[in-house]
Amino acid sequence: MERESRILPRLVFKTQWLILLSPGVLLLFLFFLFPMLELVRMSFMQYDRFTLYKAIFTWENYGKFFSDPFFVQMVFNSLKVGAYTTFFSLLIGYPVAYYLTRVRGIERTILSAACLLPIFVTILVTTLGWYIILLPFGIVQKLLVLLGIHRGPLRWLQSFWALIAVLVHLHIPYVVLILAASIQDVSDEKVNAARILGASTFRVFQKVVIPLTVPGIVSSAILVFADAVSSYLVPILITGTKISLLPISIFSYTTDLLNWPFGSTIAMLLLVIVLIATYVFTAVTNRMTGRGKWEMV
Amino acid sequence: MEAILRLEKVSKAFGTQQVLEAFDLSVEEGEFVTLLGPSGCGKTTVLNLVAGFLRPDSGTIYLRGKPVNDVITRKRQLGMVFQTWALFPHMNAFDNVAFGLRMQRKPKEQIEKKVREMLDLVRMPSVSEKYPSQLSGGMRQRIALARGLAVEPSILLLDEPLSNLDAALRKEMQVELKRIHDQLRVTTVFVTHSQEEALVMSDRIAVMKGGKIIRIDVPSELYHDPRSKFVCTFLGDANLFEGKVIEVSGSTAKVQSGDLVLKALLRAPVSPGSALSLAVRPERVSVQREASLSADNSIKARIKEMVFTGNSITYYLDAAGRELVALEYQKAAQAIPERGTEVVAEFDAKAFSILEAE
Repeated sequence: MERESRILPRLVFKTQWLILLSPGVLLLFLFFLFPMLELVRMSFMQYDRFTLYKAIFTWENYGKFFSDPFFVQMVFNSLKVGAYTTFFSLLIGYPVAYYLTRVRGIERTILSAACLLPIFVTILVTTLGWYIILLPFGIVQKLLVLLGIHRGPLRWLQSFWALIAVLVHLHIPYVVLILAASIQDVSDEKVNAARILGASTFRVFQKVVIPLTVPGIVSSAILVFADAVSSYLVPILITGTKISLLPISIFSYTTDLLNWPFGSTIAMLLLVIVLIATYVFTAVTNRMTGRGKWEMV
Repeated sequence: MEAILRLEKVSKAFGTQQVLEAFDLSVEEGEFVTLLGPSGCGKTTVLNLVAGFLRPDSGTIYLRGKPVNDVITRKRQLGMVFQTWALFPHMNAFDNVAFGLRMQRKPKEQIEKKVREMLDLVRMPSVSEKYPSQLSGGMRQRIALARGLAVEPSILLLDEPLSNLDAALRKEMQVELKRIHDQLRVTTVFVTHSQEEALVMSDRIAVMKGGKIIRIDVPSELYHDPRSKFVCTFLGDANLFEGKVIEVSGSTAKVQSGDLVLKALLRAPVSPGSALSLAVRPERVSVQREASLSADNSIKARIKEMVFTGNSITYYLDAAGRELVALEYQKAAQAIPERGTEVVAEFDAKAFSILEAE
C-alpha cells in the first residue's frame, strides 16, 4: 500500500517531464539525429556523376581517403590546427581568466566586457579585420615597406601560424569565460593555505589551482578543439586553399564537385576525429588528476 | 623573554578605509592569544598581515625578533586554519596533511610518520584515504588543524575556524583545541567574534574595536574587571549604572544613579561629585522575596520575564522603569517565582566593576 502511494506520484512526475522534454527531443531528432544518420548512410554510397549517388553499399569512399597521402596529410593538418589553437588559447586564456576572478570593481567590468564583446561580433567581421591586416599588400606589409624594414610580399602573413593566431584570437573569449567560472570555485583561502604551507606560486598552480580547475580546462579545450578543427570561414579567408583542411575539402566536395558520398565520408571522419580527441583528452586529464574520486568543497 | 611575534605601530588601510592604525601586539612563546572583536574591527586583517597575505602600509612585524615585512608568506614558517578550512578537495586527508611537508621536500618516511602522528593528535587516525567531500564539518576541521600543525609552525594562526560548526560541535572543538595547545604548546593566535570561544581557550584575550586593542589581559581579569563599557558588554552581560559620587568613606562610595543610591567598593580613589559608571554581572545579583539586612545594595523590582535553561534561570526585572538582569544557578530544585512577583534584587558593594569614562 505504502509502496504504491510512493510509486504513483513518481510516475506522474516522470510523464510530466517527458511531455515537457518532447519538443526539444523532437527538434534534435529532426534536425540533428536524422541528418547525421543520413550522412552515415551517404558516406557508404557509390558516387554517380548524374544522379549524385547510387544506393549501392561500398567501402570505396573510405578506401579512397586512406589510400591517398593528400587526404592523410589533410587529417594531420586539421589535427595540428586543432591542437595548436587549443594549446595557445588555453595558455593565453588561463592567466586572463585567473586575473579576471581575482579583480573587483571597474577593472573586472572592463575585463569582462573585453571578453564578451568579441563574442557578439560575428566571426566574419572579426576575421575580415585580420584579413585586411594580413592581406598581401595589406596594412602590415605596407607599414613594413614604409618603414624600410621589408620589401616585397611577406610569406608568413598568410601562413599556418597566421591562421593559428587568428583562430586563437577568436577562441580566447570562450576559454576565458569557461575557465573563469571554474577558477571562481578555487577560493582565495585555498590559494593562501597552499602558500602558507610553503608552496611557491608555481607550486600553488601546479598542485592546487590547475588540478582543481581541470573540469573547466577540459570543457574549454573540447570546445576550442572541436570548433577550430571544423572551422571553415577562418582558414578560407586567411590561408585560402594553400593549406588543405578537412572542412574546406568537405565544402568543395559537396558544393563544387557535387560528390556527396565522398564529402560525407570526410565529414564522418572529421566527426570521428573530434570524438576520439575529446575522449582521449578527457580520459588522460581525468586519470592525471584523479577526477571523479573527489568533489569540490 | 623575547616575544615570538610582535607588531609595532602597524597600519593598514583598504582604499579610504583605515582598518588598523598604529596597532601594537606582542605574543610570547607558547601563548594562546585571542583577538576578539565585532566584525570589521580589523582582527582578521591582523592575521592576514602576520601571514603575509597583506603588507602593512607602515609599521613593522617581527617574527622571532626579526622584521618580516619583506619576507614572503611561504618563508614565514606559519601554520593556519581558515574559516572555511580550505582543504584541498582533490587530495585525500593524508595528502592534505602531508602537503606542507612535501613542499619542504622532506623524506618520504618522515612525512609518513609525521602525518600519522598528526592524524592521531586530532583523533582522526582512520580517515587518511578519505577525500574532504566525504568528511563531516568537524572532521574537516580536525584535518585542517592537522595540516596546519604538521609543518611544526612557529606560530599557528586560527581564523574563526569554529564559526562554520554547529553549537555542540563548536563546544567539543573548543575543548579539543585547548587540549592540543596544552599538549604541543605551540604559540597560537586565534581570531574570533565569539566571547565564549575566547574565554574558554585563551591565555590572553585582546579585545578589539575599530582597529585598536581596547584591552589585552587574561580572561578572568577581563571578565571580572572589564574597566571599559565595551569590554564589559562584549564579554558577557552586565547591568550598567551611570551616576554621581555623593559620599566617600574609606574604600566605599555612595553613588546616586537616578533615584537609586548604590554602595560600591572602590579600587582607585574618587572625589565626591565626580561621575562614575558601574557595572554588575547578572550572576552577582540574587533575587530575593524579601530584603535581607546583610546585602549592601537591594533594589525593589518586579519580575518582567524569565528564561529557564535547566541549570540556571535568567530574570529580567523591572526596577521602577530600569531593567535589571539577574542569573541564578539552580543548585537544587526550587520553586520558580511567577511573572509579576515583587522581589528584591540584591548584590554586594564589591560586585561592582568600575568602568572608565569613554
